[in-house]
Amino acid sequence: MAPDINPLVLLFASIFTSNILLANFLGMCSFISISKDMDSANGLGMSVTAVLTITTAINWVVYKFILIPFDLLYLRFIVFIIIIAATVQVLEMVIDRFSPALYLALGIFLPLITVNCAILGVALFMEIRGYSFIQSLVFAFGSGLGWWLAIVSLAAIQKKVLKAPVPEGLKGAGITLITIGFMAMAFIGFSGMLVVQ
Amino acid sequence: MEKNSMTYTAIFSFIITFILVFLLTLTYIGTKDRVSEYNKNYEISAILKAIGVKFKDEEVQKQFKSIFNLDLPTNKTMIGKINGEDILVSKFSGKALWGTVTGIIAMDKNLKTIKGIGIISHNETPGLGGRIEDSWFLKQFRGETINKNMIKVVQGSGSGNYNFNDGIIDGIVGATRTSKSIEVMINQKIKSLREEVGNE
Amino acid sequence: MSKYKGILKENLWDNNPVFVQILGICSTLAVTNNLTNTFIMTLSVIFVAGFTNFTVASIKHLIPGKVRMIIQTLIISFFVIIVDLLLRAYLPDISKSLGPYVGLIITNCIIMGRAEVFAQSNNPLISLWDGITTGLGYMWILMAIAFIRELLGFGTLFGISVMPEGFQTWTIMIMAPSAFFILGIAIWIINNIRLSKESSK
Repeated sequence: MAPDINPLVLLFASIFTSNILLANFLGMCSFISISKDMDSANGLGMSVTAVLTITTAINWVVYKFILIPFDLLYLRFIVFIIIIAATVQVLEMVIDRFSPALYLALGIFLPLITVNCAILGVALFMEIRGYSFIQSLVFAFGSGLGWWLAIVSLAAIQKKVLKAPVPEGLKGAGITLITIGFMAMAFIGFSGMLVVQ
Repeated sequence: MEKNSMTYTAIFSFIITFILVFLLTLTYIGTKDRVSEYNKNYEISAILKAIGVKFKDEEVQKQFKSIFNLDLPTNKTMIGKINGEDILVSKFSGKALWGTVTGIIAMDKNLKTIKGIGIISHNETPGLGGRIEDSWFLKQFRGETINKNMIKVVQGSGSGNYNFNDGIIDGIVGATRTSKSIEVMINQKIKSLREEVGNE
Repeated sequence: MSKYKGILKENLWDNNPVFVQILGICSTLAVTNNLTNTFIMTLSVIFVAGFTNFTVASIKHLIPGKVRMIIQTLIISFFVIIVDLLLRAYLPDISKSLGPYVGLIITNCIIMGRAEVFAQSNNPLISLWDGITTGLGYMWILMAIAFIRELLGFGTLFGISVMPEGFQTWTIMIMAPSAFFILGIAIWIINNIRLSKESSK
């Protein structure tokens, strides 16, 4: 039984108040290494949003029409991850075939995305919360946008940070994490805007 | 057969997938019963806790049967007998911040006092809204008198309002919406119980 | 034997997956506001990392090149599902509070990383050891973070109240940002220790 949440509220929440990265810690690995460059940040953000929406849609269908009826829930991890890997593979081939320009811009990020915890994470959250199809789509799309927003903001901040006098021990991962921490705090501020019932 | 040929790849992938899935199925079947026992007992324990009855884990099903004369909880209102007194127990559910909260409420047969509540399932944030399961929060409902037909959840100190005559519950600090949604769903439940029993 | 000790030291400190390689923090930071959950999570990671390494190292000669990554992912998923099933059956309350984060061990970059880098080129027994020690390196730093977060955020350790009566809990410790801050500061402190060790050599 799907929870009674308005899709618009869900969209807002998944971008801001329950941001997949800043509140749920998912999708960090590529985040920390790529976030130095605006163009890659945008490219990665776009790819993640696209992959998230498509894979979550497929995962929902498989979950609802194959896993549940046949009592195969315990295999969901394997099934989800294979669907994600396959989708990314197919997406790569499709983009390469139809738009070499897009492939040059995004193509290199796609293999990285398969192991991005956010993708599997969104599928698992969808399953645990029992979202309907529309809710899952909205949740996935919103999470992608939220992740994109976070990574672009971080890239922008990092540009300034690189010019600042950061102590030796803090350089690199240390200051990046503290920056993310402040961003996470800032995003918590958004929860005041959300009024349920 | 060449290791990198298509045929070998296909056969290898098939065999390894088969072996892994087979082992997983064995494990799943081996643990299935334990898991469903747990789920059954979880709901029953929530009900017993809501009533305030002390119980031992192994005996929950027996105790439940002795109080309600039922094997399993139903979705309708159940009437139980404790120490000669009648208790009304019913499941409630409502929209909270992240999804539906399902719980159990136990009231005296005149629907004037809440004996206690228990939470069966929720999707709230652990550590924040999730604290509706904490004992300090739930304890506030034990024996709470209902003022003017409803209870009120306020943003208090977050340490619990144990005055059982004022009908006021201390909400969870940092989880205002979840706390408020509990107020709404419990009041709705009390209202529908009253209509059901015909008591005003 | 010394090779084993060397690997232990590497994975616990010099090449620690969390604060040196900065890998695999996703899934576990989320549960570090609670020592018990962190313990079970990191124990699961040790199990999955160790056995995945062992399995990959044992059958690496049989795996065709084209499907290497996906077969490794399959093996990791297998062990994670085993952990999930066992947790649901024997520690159901903890399994509930861990939520989806057990499943996310699959995408934990550390395990995939070790399988690729170590298990593919070493024998099964030492790969098993590498997996276990990597997990241990992962465990100790995350337990340290959880220690601070649970103590200051809830006033408890492993669920047992330890702080004095009037202690006002630091709500920020329960929420996401604190994990980032504490990890960032921990990396700072550890980097300083390592830098001063190097300059004193």
